[in-house]
Amino acid sequence: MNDSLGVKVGATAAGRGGPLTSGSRSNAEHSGGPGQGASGISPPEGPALMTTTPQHGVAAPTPLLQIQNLTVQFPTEERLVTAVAGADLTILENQVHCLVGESGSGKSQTARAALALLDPPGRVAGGQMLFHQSDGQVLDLAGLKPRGKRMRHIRGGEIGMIFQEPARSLSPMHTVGFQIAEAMRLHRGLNKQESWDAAVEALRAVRIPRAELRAKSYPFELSGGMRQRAMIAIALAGQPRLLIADEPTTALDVTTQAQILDLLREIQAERDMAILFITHDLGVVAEMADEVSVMRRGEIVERKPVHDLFAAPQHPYTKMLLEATPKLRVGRSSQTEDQPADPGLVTAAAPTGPQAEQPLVEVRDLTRSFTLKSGALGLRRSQLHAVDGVDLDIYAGETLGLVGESGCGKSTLAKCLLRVEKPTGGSIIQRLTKAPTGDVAAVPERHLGEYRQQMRMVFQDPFASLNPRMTVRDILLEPVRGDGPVADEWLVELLDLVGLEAEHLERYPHAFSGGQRQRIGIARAIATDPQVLVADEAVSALDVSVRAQVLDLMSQLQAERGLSYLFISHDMSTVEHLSDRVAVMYLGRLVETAPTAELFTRPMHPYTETLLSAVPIADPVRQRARARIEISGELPDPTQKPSGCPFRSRCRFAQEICATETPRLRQTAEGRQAACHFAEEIRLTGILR
Amino acid sequence: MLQFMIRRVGWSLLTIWLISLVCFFIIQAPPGDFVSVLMANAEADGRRLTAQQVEVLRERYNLDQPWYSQYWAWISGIITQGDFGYSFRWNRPAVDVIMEHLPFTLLLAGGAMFLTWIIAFAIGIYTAVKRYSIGDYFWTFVGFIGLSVPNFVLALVFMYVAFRYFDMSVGGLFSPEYVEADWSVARALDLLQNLAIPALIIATAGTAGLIRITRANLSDELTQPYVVAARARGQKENVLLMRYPVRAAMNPFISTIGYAIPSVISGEVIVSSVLSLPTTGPVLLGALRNQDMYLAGSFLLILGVLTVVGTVISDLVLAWADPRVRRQHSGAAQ
Amino acid sequence: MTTLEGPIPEEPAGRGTPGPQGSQGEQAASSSKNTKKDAGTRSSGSLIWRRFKRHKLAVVSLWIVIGVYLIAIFADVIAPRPAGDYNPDYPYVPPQSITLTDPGDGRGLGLYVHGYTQELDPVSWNRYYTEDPDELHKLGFFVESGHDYRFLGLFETDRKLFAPEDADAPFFLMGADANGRDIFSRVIYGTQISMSIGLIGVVLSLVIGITLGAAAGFFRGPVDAFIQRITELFMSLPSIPLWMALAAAIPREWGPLTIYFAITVLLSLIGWTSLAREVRGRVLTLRSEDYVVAARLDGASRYRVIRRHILPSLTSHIIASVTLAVPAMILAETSLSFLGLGLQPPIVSWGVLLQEAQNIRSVLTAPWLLIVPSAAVVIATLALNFLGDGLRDAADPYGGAVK
Repeated sequence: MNDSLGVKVGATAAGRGGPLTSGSRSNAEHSGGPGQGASGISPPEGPALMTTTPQHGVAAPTPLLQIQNLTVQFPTEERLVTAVAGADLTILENQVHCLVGESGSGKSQTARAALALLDPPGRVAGGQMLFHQSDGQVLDLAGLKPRGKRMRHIRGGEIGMIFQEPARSLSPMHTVGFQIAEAMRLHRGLNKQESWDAAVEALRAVRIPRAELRAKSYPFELSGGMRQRAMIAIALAGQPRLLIADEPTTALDVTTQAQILDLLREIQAERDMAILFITHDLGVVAEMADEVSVMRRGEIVERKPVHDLFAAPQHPYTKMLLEATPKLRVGRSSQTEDQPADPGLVTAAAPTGPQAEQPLVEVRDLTRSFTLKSGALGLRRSQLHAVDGVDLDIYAGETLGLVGESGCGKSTLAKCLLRVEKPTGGSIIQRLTKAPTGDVAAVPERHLGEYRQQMRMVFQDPFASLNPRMTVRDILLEPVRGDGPVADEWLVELLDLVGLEAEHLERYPHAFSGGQRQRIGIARAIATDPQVLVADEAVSALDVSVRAQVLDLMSQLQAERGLSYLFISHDMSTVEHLSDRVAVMYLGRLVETAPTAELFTRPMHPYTETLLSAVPIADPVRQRARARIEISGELPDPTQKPSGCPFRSRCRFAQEICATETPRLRQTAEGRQAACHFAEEIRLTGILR
Repeated sequence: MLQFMIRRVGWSLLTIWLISLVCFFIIQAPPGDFVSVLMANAEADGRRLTAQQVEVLRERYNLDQPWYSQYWAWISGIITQGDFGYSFRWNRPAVDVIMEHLPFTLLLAGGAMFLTWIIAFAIGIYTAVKRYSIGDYFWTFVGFIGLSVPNFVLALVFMYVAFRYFDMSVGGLFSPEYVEADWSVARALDLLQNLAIPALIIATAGTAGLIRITRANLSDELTQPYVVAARARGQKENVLLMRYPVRAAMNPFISTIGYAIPSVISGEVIVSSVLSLPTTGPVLLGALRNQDMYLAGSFLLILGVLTVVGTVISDLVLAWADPRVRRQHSGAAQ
Repeated sequence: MTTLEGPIPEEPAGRGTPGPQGSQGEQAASSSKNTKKDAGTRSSGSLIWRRFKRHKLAVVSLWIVIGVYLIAIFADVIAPRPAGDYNPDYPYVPPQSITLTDPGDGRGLGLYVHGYTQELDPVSWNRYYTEDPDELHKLGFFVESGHDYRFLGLFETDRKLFAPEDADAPFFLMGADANGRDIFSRVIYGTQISMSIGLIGVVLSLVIGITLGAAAGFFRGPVDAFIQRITELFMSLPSIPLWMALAAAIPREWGPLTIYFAITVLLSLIGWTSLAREVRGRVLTLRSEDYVVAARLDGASRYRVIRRHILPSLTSHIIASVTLAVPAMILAETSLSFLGLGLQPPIVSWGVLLQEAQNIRSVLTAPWLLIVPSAAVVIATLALNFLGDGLRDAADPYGGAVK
């Protein structure tokens, strides 16, 4: 037992050093660079697996789950789809094993196959899944009946599982407590009252405040983070020795993600438990993993301890993945393909210096509020200020990043800019059109034609934003309908600009992949030769590799045509990679704007600092060496914003004045603005060196 | 929640008011007013109404006034005194005729509703769980046949078969020996026995739609992550099926019941007419054929009100059963 | 190389949710593009059609529906006799059987029917028919019948598709009613009325339903609330009693054609509600679809947004709903007419024909009075229901859940 404990401490302590972390951690061990870090923790492989990882002379930890040559197939009417093709995966006791891959790589199916949870018509077509039980017996999970008693014991009793969407993984018809108590009854043989008490206790164990009350809540009454905590409580009810976490933080905001990852690490350290962590996000891998397996098209292409993988990837696919992932400035220089585009981007904005000229769009005190009806006959009304007095400038040729967590109003702001939504207050002064229209916020929709040709939008969802009943030709012609007949050459040229071909003109959207569709969306946007492009989470729905290509395309178009981008995203690393300036939004208000490098090195608003600290950097050495700000509390309900500064309820610097006076967004340094009373006094940490 | 109930009942009162307008319009629709019909009828019988009698009647129903005061006279009579007008064909107040037949209608409609519900529930779950199996196709087919065969044809076929092969005379709610008997357990059982077949016939029409809805909803629910999650914590398949997805799929089921009531009432009218059951159906039909409009209008009003009440109840049950609906109604957002 | 050629059910439903899970792998789509060259140029209409063709029952039903409407169109040719043609010598004649024989009198081998001999029961005055083995009438295709009609309104003729060569011979394939009228002919003519009333009624419903539903969904606010109230009112009324009441209010003196239209209007007045609800729901969702927003930003006018971007996405659902509404209309008409409140003789619809089977006595005497028209109703409505169901599945492969 001592041996495995030693490994465990070593493994979990590979985490962050810093003032706020506790436990037996040695910072020195990992600050020295990848090679040293790797040698410290790399565990030997399971006996049956042949890999290229070098052996290390540490006492052999026992394997917990050995998946060998697993094949999962989905027979459909047309053909047999092989989702997992002979995958090998060994998870050791007390280890955090990350399984990385893009969508469709088969990583979820691998995990589901272990618990016989494949959706029909999926089936395990071959291979073994050997589970080492605590009594020493080895059980082949592939040989168990999916509905049999033994499999039901394994599920929850030996292997717990948490899922991607906590909102949908909890039954909306039952209280959270009921669902935890059910697991307690199943695996601990408790009666009704005991199981309820145990459920409340379990909620406390996953750090949910006021657990007695929360146990009686329905899932939709809880925040996303709390739901995932409840799911973890359910998964842990049977004290499993392996926890399968299937993209558990993908649907969550970045600050919530950080909290959940912390919780998982703590729990894993407290218990005798291994985690199989499935994710697409290399930042999360860098944060969590002891060992990593990379999956592609149903096969494991590489398996390595985490530091080795990031330091010396072997397989071309792993290399490509690592290159495509933005690594927050340090990784930027290693971006290979878009080198020519990047300087172009800088020169496009640099010569005059953005501040020197007049902005193309000047947003002042923009407000968009919604009236919510409640009470009998809907007479009681409350206001939701989705956008609450925002000031924002967009300059020619620049990329302005707009970041914030879900519900902060960034999408509503974009919709107001394009007048998809009518602002309830404030003004939008634009200098895009030939004839001045003045304040766009109040102009009737029929006069917006020219403005909307100059300011265009790229949508988030490449599947929903193209009319499925129109060919690419029709889609591209729609915005230029007013300009008379258009030559085919022009359309082909347009397609060529976004990297598509002439033969694609007659096709319908369903024939294209996500990345290709997004290219069509971009082509539609630039068809009117606009000056400003609003990209609302335009690459969020794409896989890492595709995302990098689309981002390159956007940079290239900007360099060629001097476009301005308003790039809206929840993903800090993408924003950092692309933007010249960044604006940070919280609960409908802008809290900070600054040039990208400055914002990421020295934030001036506590919320920016919190956000930055929550972003996992896709580099285990840097990520684990970081000092981390503890993130307190959750995003408040937008209808019940705190008085004064909206962030004060979660701010570690909050004073009395913060509750009484709302800080205005004001100039705090050259080219920088922040909405904090103490912006100049407090010293905040960024991520960049 | 209380607010929701108030709001819901408020809306239904509005609907009921609109229904009463429609019924009033129907009463007014045939040419000539009530009194002239009455006079014509009396003349046909060889009697004559005195001018005074005519005057009294005209006054009672405000026949010389514009339509809205006529409506007011009619509706206020109903609300304050339960006076639904006069059925000249039965020579009795309409309300007496209605009250005599309504209980059987409610019994029959309730029975049909119950059967619809049970059948659709069982088959719905079966077809959703065993999707694309032979059983699924078979039951779906049966359901569609139920949907496509008119109620009255089924009723006629049933009568024909009973008469031809079992030498039974079908019709009425009681076997001959019980028609005049006092209420007893045996008589009540006899009534239920006689109600079963008509109720089943009415139920056939509604089940196909409900099966379809249950199947579609349950199929959706079965693929929800929370089902997989329940499985992943080791719950038994049968328990989790009934506890989670079936429970969730019940909601549309409940709300559909509100809309199934009108169709059940419709079916009842036709089937009862064919089988000459002493429910509202044949009486309504007779009233319409003879332009006994106060009786017909009153029936229509009462059936309409019953339907609305049923819908309200199903909405309230839904809110009670589904925490999400409850929150949507009591909370802020729409 | 079957590995990963298409959508893998990993992390399903990428639509709408943020995060990097597209529903298709990038490489996946491009490789399938290479294998099937023309795949991309299929319109969504043809994709729906392809999905529809997988429903065998629905495809069979489609052919049946087409067949029934062809019968309606060519009723004059198919029906051996006019609808009102009666023969007092043959009340309640049972169906004849057709035999392939050669009577040996020079008429040659062919299809023949027997004549009848009838006996009158002196006590009950019931007639009993037996087939006369000696009396044979030869049948032929496109024979002269002596009953003139205009073929599709084009030219005058008296040729019938399949009838006895001797125009006066008794020919009751499916029996006769109390007046000796040929049930087969009457059902054929009934097809015209019943099927057309379903179609016209649905078209009227559709106009009301689409207009109101689209208006409610698109304009929202008070317009929506008002239309919603009206819809709810109509939905909470028990339809058959209301139909009965309204139909009873139709003056008896009106001509058959006027009554026909009045009934059609009545049916559609009450039948539009479900269509309106369906359309409203769809419009509400479509309205906020990104591609509709994109169209607005592309500078499309409100009218163009509705016509070019919203309505085309609705059509497949509307077609399915309409197909499902037709049988409901047919059933409603049949029920009304059966109760004597709908169409009146001399118009012949399936409901009118069933009216004659209203009491158990006539059903016992002549079961074909019930069986033949009922079969027509059931075949038509069943086929339409299956067809509509298949269309709905094809138009909406993922949804189908109501509310």
